[in-house]
Amino acid sequence: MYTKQDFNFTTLGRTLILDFSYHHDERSFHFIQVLSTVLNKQFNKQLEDSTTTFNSINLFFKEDFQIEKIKPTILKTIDVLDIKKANPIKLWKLPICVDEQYTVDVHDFFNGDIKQVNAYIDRFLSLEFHLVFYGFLPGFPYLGGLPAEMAIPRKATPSRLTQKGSVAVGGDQVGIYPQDSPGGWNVVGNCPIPLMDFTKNPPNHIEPADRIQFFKISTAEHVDVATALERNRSHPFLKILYS
Amino acid sequence: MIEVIDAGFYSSIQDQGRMGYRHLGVPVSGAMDQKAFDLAHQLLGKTLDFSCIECTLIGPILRFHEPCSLVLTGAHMQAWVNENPIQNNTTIAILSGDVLKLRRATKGLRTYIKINQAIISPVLLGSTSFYKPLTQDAVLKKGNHIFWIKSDKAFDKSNARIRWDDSYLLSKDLEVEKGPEFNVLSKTVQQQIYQNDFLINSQNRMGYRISSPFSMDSLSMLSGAVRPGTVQITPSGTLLIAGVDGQVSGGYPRIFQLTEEALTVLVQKKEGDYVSFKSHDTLPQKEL
Repeated sequence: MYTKQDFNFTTLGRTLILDFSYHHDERSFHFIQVLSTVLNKQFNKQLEDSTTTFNSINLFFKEDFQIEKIKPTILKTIDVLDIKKANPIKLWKLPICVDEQYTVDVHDFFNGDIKQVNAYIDRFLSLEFHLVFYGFLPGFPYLGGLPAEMAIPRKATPSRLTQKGSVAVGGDQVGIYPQDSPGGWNVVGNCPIPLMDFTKNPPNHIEPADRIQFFKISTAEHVDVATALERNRSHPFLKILYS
Repeated sequence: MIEVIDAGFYSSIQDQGRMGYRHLGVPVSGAMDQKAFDLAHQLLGKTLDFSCIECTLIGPILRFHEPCSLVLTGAHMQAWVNENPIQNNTTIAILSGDVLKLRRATKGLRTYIKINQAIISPVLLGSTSFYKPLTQDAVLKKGNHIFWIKSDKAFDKSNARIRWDDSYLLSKDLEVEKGPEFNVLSKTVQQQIYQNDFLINSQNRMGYRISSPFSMDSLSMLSGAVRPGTVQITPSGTLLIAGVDGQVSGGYPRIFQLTEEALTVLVQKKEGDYVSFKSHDTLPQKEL
């Protein structure tokens, strides 16, 4: 949990940054989500956008602002914040293929020890993650909820190509690559459904604080759903996000 | 309609930007030099559409199949309509069949072509700005046809020419404010960084890479917010300055933020140019 003393104010041009230290517990995460929502409403007309990362809330103002004027207002908001006022949280179940071609990095990490690889993947599938924020690439979700002992350090040299759909672990963060990209995270599987459709507005369904769990699919099922997407056909898995 | 005969080095359709989607990881995009972009609007008066063509280093060759007015703003490129040389910041009447030819930039890097008609281009999340993979293409290609909404008003002489200071195109001084992690720099570096000139290694719409001799210990930090003009320093001492297509978050210490004006100075610099950082305080105060 946080009090107003836990927040440090800095600026980046017209962006006001509230820094705080990242706590893993659920109540702290919840506090930040509610604060972020409330600040967004409070400054709505003056804001171009706002983002929340693991340890910061960033308010992008349309015009220059004076921090001395805004800071007291925000501190007061923190003081009286009612964290019961949260948005409803949804649980999303996303398909993931963990067949060998998508788990090379995990095999490498465990030096090819199949037992350890399988134990890691099985535990990964049992976990419930939460969306912290989108960043890095359009539609790239940063997911929290990976236990510390399951963390895999980022690669010393990033791969030139991390495939679209890769579900990957970087330290104790989990992400899903929305497009082919160079990447330094370790791939643990592949999710064939992109989280966003940028031809729609809004393009996303999964909101910060929502829960995500993965369920295992075969390579054949992965190909099926990827093909359906490509050819604009319907598929039961696509109804998870696009109904 | 405009027919792209030669697309030039890197030409794309850009507007004021894709505001309000950073929380989905979507950069703002839009014209890199917002000052030149605004000037084009002032010169042509209000139009329905904000889209323009941003040209980089070597401009395109375009054939106009309908009459209109146009202006060029930003970098100075060698420019002709048919065989007649034309100048920036001046309204030019284009007749059906005219060929606008832009070649190498002689001063600055990015030129804006704006016509007094509403260009038709797909709108994604409220903006026509090219940004792959959101938009299908990153750049215009030879053979592309750019259409505009039919209107009665082909010519617009309302603001044929205005006084304009283009000296920023030659400036190398970037006015900066300290960023949240400025203090990761040693006391010595904190002084030196305002004194050196720095070489631009490479640049594109995502950002500028600039070498510096200031290598430092790797700092483990969580990704923080980055906006156009944010300067990050990597352990090897490379300075990364975010452009309008840059990532919305970054994991390196943010040592500076360029002012809006400094960002327009930067985006007109090319590979091989030098820049220097000037503290907000050391520059002469603006006269009121």
